[in-house]
Amino acid sequence: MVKVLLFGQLAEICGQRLLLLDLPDTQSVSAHLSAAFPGFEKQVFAIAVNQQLVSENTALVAGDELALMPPYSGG
Amino acid sequence: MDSYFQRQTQLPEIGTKGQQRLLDAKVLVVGAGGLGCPALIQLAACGVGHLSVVDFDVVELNNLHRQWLFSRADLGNNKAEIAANLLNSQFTHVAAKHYNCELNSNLAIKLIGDADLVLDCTDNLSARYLIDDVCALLDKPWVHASVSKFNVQYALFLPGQGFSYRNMFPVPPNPLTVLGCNREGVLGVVPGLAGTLQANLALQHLLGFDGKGFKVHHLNTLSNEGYSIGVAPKPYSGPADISQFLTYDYSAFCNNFEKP
Repeated sequence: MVKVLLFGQLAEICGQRLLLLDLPDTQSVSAHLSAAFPGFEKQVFAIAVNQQLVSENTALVAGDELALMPPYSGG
Repeated sequence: MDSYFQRQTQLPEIGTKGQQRLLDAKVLVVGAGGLGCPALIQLAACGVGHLSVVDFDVVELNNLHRQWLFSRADLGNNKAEIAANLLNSQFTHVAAKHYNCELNSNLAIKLIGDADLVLDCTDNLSARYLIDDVCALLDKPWVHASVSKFNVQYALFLPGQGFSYRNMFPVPPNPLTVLGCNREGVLGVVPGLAGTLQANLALQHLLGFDGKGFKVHHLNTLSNEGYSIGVAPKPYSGPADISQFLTYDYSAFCNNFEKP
């Protein structure tokens, strides 16, 4: 299982700030959330694995922690 | 130097040398609203000697709960001008200039070129990408902060070293998904924290305290949890040079989505 932390509007769309998922890579996490939560597929966000930003599909192992961080515009 | 900054200079990490660096520093603050008000006050109070403030907006009543450099007496007047006048009168060590206009591409080249450091205190993504790209092209550090309801994102970007906003968010979001304070609402203390955190990063950079590596920070002010993400350097991916930058349409870049 991997831990998925959801920030900002992503947490509102998914109704929670933390999910536990059993998925093999970051792309399948995005795909799962897009399928499970209406509106998620329209979101743009940075993905970090174990507190390091990743820019490509990244394989995951049990215990990994993902953070999905959308941009904010407010000022 | 009199004892105004004595509580700062007595820190071995700062001393009179560090304080003088702040007094000599030239900082450009783009936006004198929810982020700019707290950031400007902290920078000025801690001794940043040269502040330029850019904002074309005028004070509205529903700004005042979070833009507290202004009062009801200032309604309808230009934010940058009021902010600069206040800083100049309250802080004798500060020379504050104001620009009552939008930061367009030409002005950005000039003002960012003259600055040691830029603070992005704007409230829209096209301005943020514009600042990011100019800072990359001119190799200027800049401090980002942004707010979404009770959440704050903030970072010191060092584009000359491969750390840029565009590399974190290469594709801008659909503007309908990123609402901002006026449409979502915000508790005034949250941009207060965000602007103060920006000023903190700015002061640390000016004092030479930057650690190794690049991080983007997040604060959830409801749960009081911080979270930081490390970012590896990546090559710059914006307009290739100044002349391409000057013709780049940031509004189109950020709004190029099919309307529902």
